[in-house]
This record gives sequence, C-alpha cells and structure tokens, in this order.
Amino acid sequence: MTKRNINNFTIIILLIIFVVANMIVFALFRNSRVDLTHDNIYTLSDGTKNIVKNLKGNITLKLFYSKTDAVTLGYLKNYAERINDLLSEYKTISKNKIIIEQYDPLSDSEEQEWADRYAIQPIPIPGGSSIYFGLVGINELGDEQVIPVFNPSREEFLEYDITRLIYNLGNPKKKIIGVISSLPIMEAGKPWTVIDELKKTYDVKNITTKMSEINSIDLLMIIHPKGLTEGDLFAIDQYIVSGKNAIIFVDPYCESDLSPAGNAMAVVQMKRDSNLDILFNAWGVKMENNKIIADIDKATKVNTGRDIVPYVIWLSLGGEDLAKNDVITSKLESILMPSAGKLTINAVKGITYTILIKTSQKAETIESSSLSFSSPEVLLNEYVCGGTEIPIAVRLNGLFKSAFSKGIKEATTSSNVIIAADVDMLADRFSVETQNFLGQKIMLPINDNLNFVYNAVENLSGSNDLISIRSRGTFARPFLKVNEIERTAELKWKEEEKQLSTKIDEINARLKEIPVKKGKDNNPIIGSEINEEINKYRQERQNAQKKLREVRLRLRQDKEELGNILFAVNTFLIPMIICILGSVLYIKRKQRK
Amino acid sequence: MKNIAIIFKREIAAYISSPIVYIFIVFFLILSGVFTFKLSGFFEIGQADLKSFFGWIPWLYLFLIPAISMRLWSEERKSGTIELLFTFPIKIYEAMAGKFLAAWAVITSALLLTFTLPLTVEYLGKPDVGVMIAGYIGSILLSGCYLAIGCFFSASTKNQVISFIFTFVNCLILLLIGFEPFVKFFEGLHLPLWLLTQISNFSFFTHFANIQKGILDVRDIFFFVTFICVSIYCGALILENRKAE
Repeated sequence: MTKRNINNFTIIILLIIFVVANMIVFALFRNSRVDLTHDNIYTLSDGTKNIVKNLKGNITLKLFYSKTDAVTLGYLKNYAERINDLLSEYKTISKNKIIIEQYDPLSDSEEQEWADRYAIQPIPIPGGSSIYFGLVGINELGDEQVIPVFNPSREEFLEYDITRLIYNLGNPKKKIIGVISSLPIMEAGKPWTVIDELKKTYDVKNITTKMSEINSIDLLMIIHPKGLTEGDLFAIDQYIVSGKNAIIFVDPYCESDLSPAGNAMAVVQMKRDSNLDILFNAWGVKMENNKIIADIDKATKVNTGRDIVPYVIWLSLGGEDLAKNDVITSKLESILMPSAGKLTINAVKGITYTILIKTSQKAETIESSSLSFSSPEVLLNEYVCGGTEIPIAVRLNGLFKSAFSKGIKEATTSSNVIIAADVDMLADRFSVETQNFLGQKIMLPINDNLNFVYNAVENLSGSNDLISIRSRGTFARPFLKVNEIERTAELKWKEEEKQLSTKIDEINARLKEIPVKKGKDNNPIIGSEINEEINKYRQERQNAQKKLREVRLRLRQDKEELGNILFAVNTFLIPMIICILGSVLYIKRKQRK
Repeated sequence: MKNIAIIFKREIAAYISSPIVYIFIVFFLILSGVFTFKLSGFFEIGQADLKSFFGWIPWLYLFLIPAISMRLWSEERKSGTIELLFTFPIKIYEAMAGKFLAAWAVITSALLLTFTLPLTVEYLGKPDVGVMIAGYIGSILLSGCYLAIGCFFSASTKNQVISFIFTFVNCLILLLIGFEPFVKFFEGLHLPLWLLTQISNFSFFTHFANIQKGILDVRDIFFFVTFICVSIYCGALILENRKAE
C-alpha cells in the first residue's frame, strides 16, 4: 500500500468516526448544556424541581407526536426534540416517578384512536392530512390532564404548561375560587381568558354572598363590584375577618363595562365605576370614584388614525413600577393598566401595606367625567405633570377589623387582601392576542397582566412554586432610549402644536362668520372686500397648517437622526479607522524600504 | 505545539502586511452594518437584541470565508515557498493547524470589531447579554467550520477559483440540509425517517440556530469542534499526498 492509499483510507475512516461519534453524542448527551439566557429560560426552575421532587405517586406522561407524518415540518421537529429533552429532564429529577411514553400516531392506527380518545387536537397540515402533537398526563387515580397541542410560539411557557399539568395530577383536589363580578366574565361560551386559564388549575365558581356559599371557598375574587347591598358587603367583611384571603379589582372608569347595548347616549351616561368604600375604609385604603390616573412617563402609544400619540391614561408599567420584594410582582416585566384609579393608604393598626404597582413621579389625576369626550391628543395637550408616585395595586396583610358593628369584630388569624384599582387590565383586549396556529386558535399573552392575577391567586391559595416558573418569559426588549427621546420631543413640541391647532380652529370659525349675501339663483355674491378678507384668512390658515406639519415632522426628526447616527457609527466608523490604520502602516513600510 | 505557534506567528505577520485582510475586514463590517440596519430594519424593529445581525452571519461568511481560505495553500504553491516550508522539521498537520488558526484569528477579529453593535443595543435598551455572547460564540464556531472546509479544498487544488467554488458549494450544502425544502427533497427519495433526522443533525444551521437561542449544548459544541479537527486533518493528509507527488 502506498503512502497515498494509506492517507486516502485514513480520510475515509476519519469521516466515518466523525459521523458515528456525533450520532452517539446526539443520542446520549440530551441535557448537558449551559443556559446563557438572562432568566435561564431553558433550564428547569427551582419551582418545577420542588413540585416534581415532592410528587407522592407515579405520573405517566404520554407524548403524542406524529413523527413520521410531520417530517416535512422542520420547525416542529426541532420543537419536538426540545420537548423530548425537557421531559427526560423531568424524569431524572423525579427519580423515575414520572414515566415517559412516546407515541407516533399514524393515520388509522391504534395510536391515533388513543390520541382522539385523550382529546389531543389533530392539526391539519398542507396536503390534506393531520398530525398530532400533544401531551397527556395520568396519575395513579386515573385523573387525566391534557395539553391538546404544543405551539412553538408558546415556547417560553413550555415549562410552565408541563409543570402545571404535573402539579394538577399531583394535587388532584382542586382549590375553589369564588368569583363575584358585575361583568360577564364567566359567560358560557365566551368567558374571559383570565377565567378560562384559571379553570385549568382551579375550580372557579360564580358565587353569591350567601354565608354558606362564601364560606365554602378557598379564595374570593371580586371583579368590578357594582350594586352590592349592605348584606353582601357584610358577608364579604365577615369572610375576610374570619382569616381568609381575597383579590379585589375595582375601577373608577371601567372601559370594558359596556352593559346597556344599543343606546349610545345610555352608554355615555352610564356609570362605569366600582368601589368597596365601606370595607376599604375599615381596611385603611381609599379610591376616589371620579379620579383617573394620567402619567406621561408611562403613557402607551396609540394610533389615532392621524398620528401615533402617547395615551396618558393607558399606563404601560414595568421595572421600577412593580414591587421587586413581593413574590407576585418580583419577576413581572410589563403591565398595561387602562384608566386606572388612585389608591390612598391611611394605615390602620395591625395591617401592613405593600405597594405592588405604582406610577412614575410625573403622574396626576384627572376627572373621569371628561373621558367620554376627550381624544388621546386632547388628554395629552391638557396634561399637567404631577409630583408624586401614585399606588395602583396594594397588598394588605394582617389582622383585619370588621367594618360593621355586628358579627365577628376582629380577626384572630391574619388575611391577605390584594386590591388593584383597575379592572380593564383583565380584559382580553388589553392582555392577550389571538393567534392562528395551523387552524387552531391560541391565546398568547401580550404582557404580564394575567400573570399578575395568576401569581396573586397562587400566592393567596398557597402554591408559590408555580409562580417562580411562570414569570420567567420575556415578551419584548424595547428600545427604552428611543421611547425617552420620543417623550421628550412630545413634551417639547406639544405646546407649539397646541397653539397652532387653536389658531387654525379660530381662523376656521372666523371664516364661517363672514356674512355672505345670496343672489337670485341662490349663489353667493362675494364683495371684493370680503373676498380679500377670506383670502387673508385662508393664507393665514395655510401658513399655520404648514407650521403644524413642520412641528409634527420635528417630533419624528430626533428619532430618525438617532437611527442615522447609529447606522453610520456601526457601519462606517470602524472601517474608517481600519483604512486609516492600514494606510499608515503601508506608508511607514514604504518609507522603510 | 511549538511549531504550530511558529507557523501561526508567521501567518499573522503576513496578514498584517497584506492589504487583502484590511479589505476583507472593511467589507465584512460595512456589509454587516448595511444588512443589519437597512435590510433587516434593526432600528425600526426596535428590539434590543442582535437577531437581525446574527441572522446574516451564515450568508455573509458563505462568500467571505472561501475568499480568505482559497489562497491559504495555493499562494505557497505559486511562490514555491511550499517546498521551503516542507524542508523544515515541521509536520504537515502542524503547518495546516497554524495556518488555520491564523486565518480563524483574522476572521474572529473582524467579527469582534462589530463590538459597536452590542454597545448600541446596550445603549438603546436592556438586551439579554447572555444571548448576545452565545451569538458570538456560535458565529466564531461557524466561521471555524467554513474555514476548515476552505483549508481542505485549498490543499486539494492549485486553482484558487476551484477552491473558492468547492468551499462555497460545500458550506452551502451543509447549511441547507437542515432546511425544509431540502428535507422535502430527501423525503421524495423515500429515505427512511432515522436517516432524514440524522442528515439534518449534520447541518451547520441546526447547531448554529441552537446556540443563537442562548444555549451552549454539548452536542452542538462537539459537532463544531470535531468537524473542524477532522476537516483540517484530512486537509493535511491530502497535502501530504500532493507532496508525495
């Protein structure tokens, strides 16, 4: 054998070793990795580990994935592999209490029958056939929990979804949440997503304030309480004083409260506020029914059709605004609260108050009555900076005193009550978006609004482990600097824009007031003086409009300038330095020669 | 090891005095800036991450790295320095490794000179630094693989154009076999399922995409590192054959 032949033979052997070694490594090292993401979103959290380690009986997880039929869907294949890896990690941590079974349901097979029987959703794929991609968990009692379909866009919540399924199987007795609400949030057929999701873990019931009924629940949730009688309030009061917990959402102006349909005037005149002032008074909390918070620093951008403006009463809160020392809000990143109310705390002895959500220092309050007729632009123009942070959600913890002179007067065991001065944050339009995934409708959170509720419910009903898993997903990492520039520009040009708009309105009014005579054929006769005056006003109006356009252009200019500078720096700065450096080296070398 | 260091230093010195390297770096930086800002709309998207930058890396490297690698050995052959090199007491694979590492260092420097991008993102918002670091690690490993293929073909042929084309085509194939249209094509050939899965496991793209997410998986790192080592060593063996000729 010549040297050449030996070399060629070695190359072939090396290639075979490379392929085989990688195949072995692919198969064996399923969970050996370093997670560099900020929240370790690809590593099982301590909450999951606690839940899985504390399992009392065995749980079987059956993964249905149409491996053969889904082979052309590359993105599904990667996701299925990720789920496989994750499940084997669950198995390891549980010390084999979790049993994993995998099925590839081919059409007309027994596996497909089982998938249908467990209500795994078939997903139609191009070409007319369907695939299955879901999970069923079964505990020793025979209880079943299903994830009907795995959606890759929910990857951030994958661990939460699986752990919740395991948690529910490990704790088969569901806690009962009693809901009192004036809104149709539990309406059959179209309940709000917040309730729909809670139902997956809890037994959620619409309740009345009958003593027997209210005492049978584990947690009370009050959403937009309107028209409660003194008897109702007394029942709630006694429930709290008996040492139980509650989550309360009230609102000075609930945009989602649309009860009387049809009559436009009735909708405008309708009272949209809710309060529990008698109880709040005894607990040391107050919310004024006619005051709404406006905050330029936290304003949400909205498209008014003409322009994109900050809507000062739709608060986008995050970072510093959410309490970092409370388990409910510590991991949350973005909360949207439209037309929220102001909470004032007059501390009562025996109760500690933790502010969970607050505004920036620039917040002020405005009258809720002015809302029905004011556009975002008007609210922005009329905005005056306030000087203090305003609490919007508060946690009360301690021994509560009764607001009534009868019944139990004072609690002997402590309770937790969470009060949020906004109801709209729970509504679907402010918390989720509907996505279509291969023909299936899937609700995806657009912010942490619902996580706030789930965290509160879990914390107040006694399972903190699930909280630590859920709040790990990050939704968006916006350019904060750009938002700041836009805000500054808005404040800077707002005044000038306002003056110009007023001027244009005045000119329009004056043009209308000019007397016009009418001739025989009913056509207007305009004298030369009047004509001159009209032209003068029109000219003035044109100038003002032109200036207004310039001002609006300037609003965007600062942002565009920043974009151009960053493009230039990132694209040309270093190349220029390298060119100069290269030239200097070249010249020096030439001189040396 | 000592010999590798000697070759590495010699190569680096040659790169510093060669205008081609400066042109390569300037080209790479300008193209990546234009692609990121103008084609991907980095600023308009308004997200504090580098997805719009790293998304272009496999495609930018596809053209730039074969251009660097094609001259690794053919220049030596043309100028006759290859004979001189082989008269030294140096093993061929050491010469290969030295040359590879020097070229890799140049490509990595070019990549690291995009440091203004992470700084920009940090200035604009609150990026996930871990994910950005993973992005850079993935890009460095990917460039290593492209370059190792380049080394192999540069050793196999005297002709620079042929070396460029073979490197380009092979990188492209190894990139695309993880993609849907290609998987469909293989499916049309009625290949068994396990084989289809294994084929996409050998795609650069599969492993690069995994690291981009912010996970350093043993399987991805093992794939990249073994690919580089095997390619370089095979290149050295081919070169030895040529030497024998």
